Amino acid sequence: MNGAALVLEQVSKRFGERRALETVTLSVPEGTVWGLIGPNGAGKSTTFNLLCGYLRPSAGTVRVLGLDPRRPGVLKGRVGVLPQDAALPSYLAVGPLLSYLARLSGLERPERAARVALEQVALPDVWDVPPSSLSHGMARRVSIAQALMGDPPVILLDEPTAGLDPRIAVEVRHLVKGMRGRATVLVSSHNLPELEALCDGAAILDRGALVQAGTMRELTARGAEFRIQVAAGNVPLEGIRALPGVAEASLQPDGLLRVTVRPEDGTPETILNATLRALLDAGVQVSGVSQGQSLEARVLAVT
Amino acid sequence: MQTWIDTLIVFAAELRRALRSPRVLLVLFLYLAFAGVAMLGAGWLARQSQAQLIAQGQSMEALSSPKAGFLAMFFRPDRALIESLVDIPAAVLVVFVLGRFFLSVYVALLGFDTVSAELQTRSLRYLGVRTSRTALALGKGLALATLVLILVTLVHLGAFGDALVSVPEFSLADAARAWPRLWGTTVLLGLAMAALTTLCSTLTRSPALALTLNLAVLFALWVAGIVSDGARMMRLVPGRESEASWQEHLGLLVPSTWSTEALYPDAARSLPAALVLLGFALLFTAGAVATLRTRDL
Repeated sequence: MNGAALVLEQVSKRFGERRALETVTLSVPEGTVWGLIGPNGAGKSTTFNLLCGYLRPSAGTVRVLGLDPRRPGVLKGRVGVLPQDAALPSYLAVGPLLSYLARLSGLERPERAARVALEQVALPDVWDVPPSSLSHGMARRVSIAQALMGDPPVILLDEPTAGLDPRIAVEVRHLVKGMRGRATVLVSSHNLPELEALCDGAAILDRGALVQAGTMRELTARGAEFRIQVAAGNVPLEGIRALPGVAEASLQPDGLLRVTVRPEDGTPETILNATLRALLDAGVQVSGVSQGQSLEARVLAVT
Repeated sequence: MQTWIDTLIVFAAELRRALRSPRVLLVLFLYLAFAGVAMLGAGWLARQSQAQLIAQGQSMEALSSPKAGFLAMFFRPDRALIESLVDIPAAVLVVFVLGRFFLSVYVALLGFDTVSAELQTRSLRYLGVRTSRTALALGKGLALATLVLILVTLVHLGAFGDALVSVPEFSLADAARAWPRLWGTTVLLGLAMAALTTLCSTLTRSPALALTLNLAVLFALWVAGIVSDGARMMRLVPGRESEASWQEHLGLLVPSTWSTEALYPDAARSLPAALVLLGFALLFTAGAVATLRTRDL
């Protein structure tokens, strides 16, 4: 799996005078789990809806598995979608509804596909229940089930764990993780720690523009920086700065030692170990170590 | 091919949905009850008039004159048309007239939310990613058209059945001759109205707005029909004969005008009118498909 499954090239979208997206170029590699991040009004939902073919771009090109999502019926069986604010059709009970959707997706055994999908989200008992009688969380799980039905090669999930209780949210995260390599998954979410744990990469949008995109390692500078929380002792700052591969070291008043590395002089892990050794040799007590910035800090810095 | 398969899948689900909807069932029941009461009332009045004529020692032909006046008022003051209708029992004709005037409103009440409600709740997004929008519009429109077909057929079966039982002069052969004209014309008019309702439902996300728009279009068609009929009547006044005015030509845009044309016994006149009614249905359906294909979901 090499090529890009999802591609936006110079895509703009206007709603009347309002510009929702402005010349966004983005590609998501096949078989990866990617996040779509940004504050409210950043253009996440617009990007999501363009990829689903719900909206037509004002300019630029959108491709899903190399195909124009606006072409009639082109996403059938290829894309599973969890829309954020779409109510489940209420005219059929859950089981018949999922069977109907599976039939429209062109699945060979629609009823079986529906049952398997409901078991995946731990809701095998709601077959005859009308969607309008489900709690918000259960309806969300049914929506996730319909997106996963038939193992489509592309899955687009808008806020998949919003409104779910923690245990179910963990199960959904496991489900999404399990798709890595089998499907390309794009997750739009405000839950940044969740995305950091889940995604191989992410795109950060702000006010309709793409401000940064890349692998999670690139976004969090995981290979370029680490931080050590000092509990007690005198930090040999000059000695650390002199270590091979250390570009810069600074100690903050709260005892946080921040070290920037030159990756060409060694792996980040080697430089981290050498720094820890220097601290321990100097009798410094360490209470915590982290690599890179948190995704949250990165997003706050760029938006 | 896939579009047609998907159209059938959507059609089956939509029809099942409609037949389980309390509102749809209520509207169907109300129309049946309305038509039934009107049919029984018309039949009773006709029998009373007949009994009075017999009591006064007059012939049955004397009843034809007021009936012809009634037909001229509700159809068209045209000898060929009136003569072809005057022998059909009143109950059957009343059901047909009701269909011409009220069926379009009932169709609007049946289907105004068929697409608009799913646009409003965005539930159409679950379907839109799985099939073409053409299949969605066609499947939903077809389900509404099927409801109209069932409704019109039930009402006409009731009216013809009642006439066969209660009017001894109305034979099975008479019924077989009248059925294709009256039932067929009402079905074609109903299909055009079902397609118009589907089109209005694709134009807006709000079901209330879709219904308002639909009723506004029906009102505009009704006004255009009245203006056209009025202009035609004026031309019939002795001394005022002239070329047909643009007001009269407005009637060409009104499906119910063509439903009157389709009633003529002369096939050279009725068949083109039936095709025009079918054309209205296809045009409105094409409009619904084009609207759904281009709009944002």
